[in-house]
Amino acid sequence: MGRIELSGVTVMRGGRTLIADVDMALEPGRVTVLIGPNGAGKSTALKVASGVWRASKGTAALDGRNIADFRPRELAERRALVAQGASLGFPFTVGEVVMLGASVPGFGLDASPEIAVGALATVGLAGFEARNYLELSGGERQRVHIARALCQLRAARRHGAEGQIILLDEPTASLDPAQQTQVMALCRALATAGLTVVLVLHDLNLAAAWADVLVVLAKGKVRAVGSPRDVLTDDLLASVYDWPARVNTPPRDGEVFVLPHHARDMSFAGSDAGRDVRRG
Amino acid sequence: MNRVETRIDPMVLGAPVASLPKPRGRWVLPVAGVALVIVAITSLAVGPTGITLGSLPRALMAGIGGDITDPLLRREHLVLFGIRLPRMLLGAFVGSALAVAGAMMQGLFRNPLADPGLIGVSSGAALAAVAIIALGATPALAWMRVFGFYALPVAAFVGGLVTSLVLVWIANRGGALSVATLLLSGVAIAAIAGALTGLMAYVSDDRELRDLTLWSMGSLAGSSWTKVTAILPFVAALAIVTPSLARALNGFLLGEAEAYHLGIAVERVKLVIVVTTAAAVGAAVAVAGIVGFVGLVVPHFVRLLTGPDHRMVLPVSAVLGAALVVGADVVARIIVAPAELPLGIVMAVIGGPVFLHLVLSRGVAGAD
Repeated sequence: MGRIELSGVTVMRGGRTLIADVDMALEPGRVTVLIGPNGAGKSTALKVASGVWRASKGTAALDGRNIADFRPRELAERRALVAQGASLGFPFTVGEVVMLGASVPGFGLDASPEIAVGALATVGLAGFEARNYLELSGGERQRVHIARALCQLRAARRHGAEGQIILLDEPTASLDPAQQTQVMALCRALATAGLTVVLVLHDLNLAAAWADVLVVLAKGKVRAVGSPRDVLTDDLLASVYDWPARVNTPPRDGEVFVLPHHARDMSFAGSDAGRDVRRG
Repeated sequence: MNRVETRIDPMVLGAPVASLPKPRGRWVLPVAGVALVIVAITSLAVGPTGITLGSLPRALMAGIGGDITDPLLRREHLVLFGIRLPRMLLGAFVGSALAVAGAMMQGLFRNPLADPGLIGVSSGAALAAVAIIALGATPALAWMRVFGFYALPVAAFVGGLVTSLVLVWIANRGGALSVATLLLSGVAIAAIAGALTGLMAYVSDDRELRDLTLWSMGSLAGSSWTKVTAILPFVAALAIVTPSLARALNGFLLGEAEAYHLGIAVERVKLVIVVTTAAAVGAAVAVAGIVGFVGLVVPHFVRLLTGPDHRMVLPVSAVLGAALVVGADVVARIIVAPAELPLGIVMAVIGGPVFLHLVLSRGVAGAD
């Protein structure tokens, strides 16, 4: 339960093809990480998997049933999404924002606010309940939204939902390294608990360290799928990112990590202006 | 980079370490209710014919037990039931409808500046109502025949609905909802509707012209039981539909996509909100003309007291909106007595500074 499968999914918006003919299986119990350069279609794939965007061609299915056939309420019991830079312009308290996770009529979460309190504690924000959301730092806001997603899933689970999915679009973007590790550890624990965990990440080393499955997207297409060790190679990074980097495998624990070339002799070839400067 | 082993299951609930703070502002609703009662009684007692607070109950109750013999009491009874009671009720209904409509629009557009008056919905409603009056003799006659004394509210509802749909279309073009685009489009739509309304003045006779002036300034003068009856179904519908929208509106504050992820049927709910808002504004405009700022001032004030949760904002706005308009009408009646000011002017004096304050504080920057 909780398996999402995209088959031949193409998404066109405003005359542009965002992803083309994408096949992807998101399995329960695993941390799947989507990586790829900006504009590769990672967020688009995530939106199709969450159901908020429809595939122009192809199908997205949850446990064999077309996601388009689910009512929003049914889907909300099964999956939560932490959006990229989720914003909120009104002065809610942190507790109220997390409780929004259970806005779905019928969850009846009002009677059990300990779910919201517990979700905040899980993301390391215990005691933040009465704080004004607008006065939080970017990293704290990000974690509040993760807590909101947790609150949604836990409330639904209490109502008997099974095979749940959590989708996170760059959840670590505004977090410091320690918090990044905490969020990734939380994702790992959620996968261990049987959830389908899907993330979009830009940090290749974070992805390499935590992903069970890496899906590499570029220009709207899937370029590679597999374990970090199999997928991350010098050649792939060079072709996908147009970026000379070296993939290393340290002898001790065997996790690959990516080392970019920071050499000062690398020429800047981004624009004509750069060339002029170089010519002096 | 060692893998952090997490043995605890994050989906299993631990023992509650603390409880959430109590919902804010539970005390506000009863206090607002008391304020409304006080303002309503004042509204009944104040006027050219003074009815003392002491004689108010007697005058209200008179007539229940048969004919009134005391001539003074008879006069007070007539003034109360013929003039002041319908006027007070009309003010309360108009205030509730406008305040709730404002709160809903602000939730839908995620913008505390979205007021039906500011973004042109009231102007659109007024234009449609005025067209019915000014074109009286010819095409509107059939309309009148079909809808009877609901002709104006229904026309204003249609006008408000069309304006709202145009605004939603403009604001959603290109996928992103821009606050600046919304407000400026609203100003443009209000200007166009205002110009067309002005144009109607040239095809109107004297009596119609007076009605048109009333429409553009907003007034409760000329209140009658007919008007109360005309607005009643709209207010009742609002009272029935609105509570079910509170949770969805909370979700909308996170954004439409987020609302969808929370399980809200976004497109359907959006349509319900737009239609409900247009109905509320249309009904209010049809009986009282364009009364601005109620939908801006009241929800803003309420949010300061209760926080932005619509389960509190909507009911409290309904009560305080009623109190504000009834109160403003009392001011309009006494400040230049024996003449009376248009209600719209009193509301603009109150609302203008609040609007400015909102613009200068984080109002505009805070919700884009």
